Amino acid sequence: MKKTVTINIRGNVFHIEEDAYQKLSEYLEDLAQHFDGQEADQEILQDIESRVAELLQNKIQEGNEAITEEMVADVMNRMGSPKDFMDDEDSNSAKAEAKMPKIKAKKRLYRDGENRVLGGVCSGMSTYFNIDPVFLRILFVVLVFLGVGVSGFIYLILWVVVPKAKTTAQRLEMRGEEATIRNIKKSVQEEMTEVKKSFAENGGSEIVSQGKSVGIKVANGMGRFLAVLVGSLLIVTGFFGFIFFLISVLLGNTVLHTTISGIHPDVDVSGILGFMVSPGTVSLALLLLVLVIGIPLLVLLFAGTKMVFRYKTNNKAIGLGAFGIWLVALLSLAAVGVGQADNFKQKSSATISKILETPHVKTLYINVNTTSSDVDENTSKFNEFELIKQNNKLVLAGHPEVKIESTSASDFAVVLSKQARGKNSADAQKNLSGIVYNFASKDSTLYLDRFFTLDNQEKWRKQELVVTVKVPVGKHVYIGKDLETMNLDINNLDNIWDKEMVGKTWEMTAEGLLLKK
Amino acid sequence: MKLEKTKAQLKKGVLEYCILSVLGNEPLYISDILLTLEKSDLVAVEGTVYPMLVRLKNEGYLGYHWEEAGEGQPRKYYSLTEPGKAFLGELGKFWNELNKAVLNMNSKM
Repeated sequence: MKKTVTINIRGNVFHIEEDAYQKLSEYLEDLAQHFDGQEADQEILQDIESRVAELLQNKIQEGNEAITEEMVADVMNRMGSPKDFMDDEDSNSAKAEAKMPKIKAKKRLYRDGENRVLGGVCSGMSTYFNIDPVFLRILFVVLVFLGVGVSGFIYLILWVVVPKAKTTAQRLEMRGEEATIRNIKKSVQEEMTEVKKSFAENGGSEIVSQGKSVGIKVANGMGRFLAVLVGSLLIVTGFFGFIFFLISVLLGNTVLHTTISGIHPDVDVSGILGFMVSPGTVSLALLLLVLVIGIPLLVLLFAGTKMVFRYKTNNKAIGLGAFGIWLVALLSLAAVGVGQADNFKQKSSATISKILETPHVKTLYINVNTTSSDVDENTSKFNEFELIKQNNKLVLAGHPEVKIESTSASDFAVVLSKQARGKNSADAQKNLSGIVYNFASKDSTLYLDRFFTLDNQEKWRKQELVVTVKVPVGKHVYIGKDLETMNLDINNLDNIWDKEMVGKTWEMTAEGLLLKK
Repeated sequence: MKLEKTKAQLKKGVLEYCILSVLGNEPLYISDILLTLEKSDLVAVEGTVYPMLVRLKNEGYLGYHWEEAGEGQPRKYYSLTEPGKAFLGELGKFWNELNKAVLNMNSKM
């Protein structure tokens, strides 16, 4: 009594002896290798499997208990081997030749429809990794309950992109051996014995082509190893890239600059967007940005999993679909950007002067206001602006330009020249009035704030501020060392560079500033 | 060896015509198609027929439908489409011409 196994071929259950099973699965595997293309090949394979099932069914009806090796051989004789199948009118013959040197029994990831709970993703994966599906299912359910929503998302994606094992050959492939080094060696050895045999039989005429196919096999094995390596890298990059990107966008955190560096190394995207556009536009722009950056990352992930698990998909449809969505998102993002340009159409400016009550002061000391220590510098910068935390609120801060000019008046004065843009002049005027800048004078010292900030809810509309300190002719001004870090634009008669004017006392003459020795 | 090869090539050439011809009268189950072809010793191995059937179907000459068959799997029935019928007609004409030509040539020898 031989050991038998139970198999299912296209809905028919058979008891089959183990050696017969071996033979049959090799045959179906061969067929699957041969018909490895798209739709049409799948259909041919299904038709053939149906016929195999029918022929075996007939044998059972003749009164046999289990399928034996002879019966399988009989069916194989009747059906013919893949090389007899060539239909000259399509490219199958060329294809078949190209396929000959492939390694047998490749393992592919499929969804296992026969052991499924939902879509057969867990059962398919467990078959692939050779573990009990229960572990994966428990892991998955636990992850979902822990609130890791991503796992549900991943499940859905796999459900869509991983094909279900439809034919028996695919079910065999699902369990197939992996292209490990040992298997490669084994198949090469098999090939070598065949070479020796054919050498003995044919006197070596075929040895050239056989030897070549051994070479291709080794190359394929190496290729497989590289594919798994590159695929794994792609998976890791795509997966972590996507997750970090999503988190950083959702939380508006600065995690982003660690992940998509290269473009703008230190940009807090959602934070800055919030200051540029209205909230509705922010969500839209963010969604588009997620698509524009997320889709390429998902494609990486997809390509990686394909390289490692080798499931078959309709690459063209998925690729075109992804590219289409990506392109639409990119164009929409550009459109949103162009719409934003409208907000910068009109320019408006205003000037405010404040005379400092310093009638007896001969020398005015200009320093940076260091008491406003509630301003912590933040790393996010764009254009001339920075995002800073002020009183625990994120505000947009700009760097004013500092000038020193002469005045015919008898008192020191500070002139603030504000500038902003808007849809129209009223809008520009409104944006202009949002510029908040503080300075203070005490005795003979003028304290300038390092930043000007934009008022609550104020958007960035190219606001600019020039702080001009008016110095009466004949009086002196000392430029504090702290001002070195500010944006200075001060003319002087000594032709000294702006940054080097600090820490010195200057005299205002009718012609301009002169260094006081 | 040479004879077998030439025979197989000739058979393959007319197989397409024969499949269409078998389906000329009524829709047939795949196994019945095979049975008819095997009876007339046209098919060496059944495997040759499947790619041809699917190709003819994809080219629009054949259609198919499924029929429940008591217990076991449903059966796939192939049938001729309108373009298929026209195609069969043309092939039939050509076959007659070819047949005549060969007979003619042989009788002259």
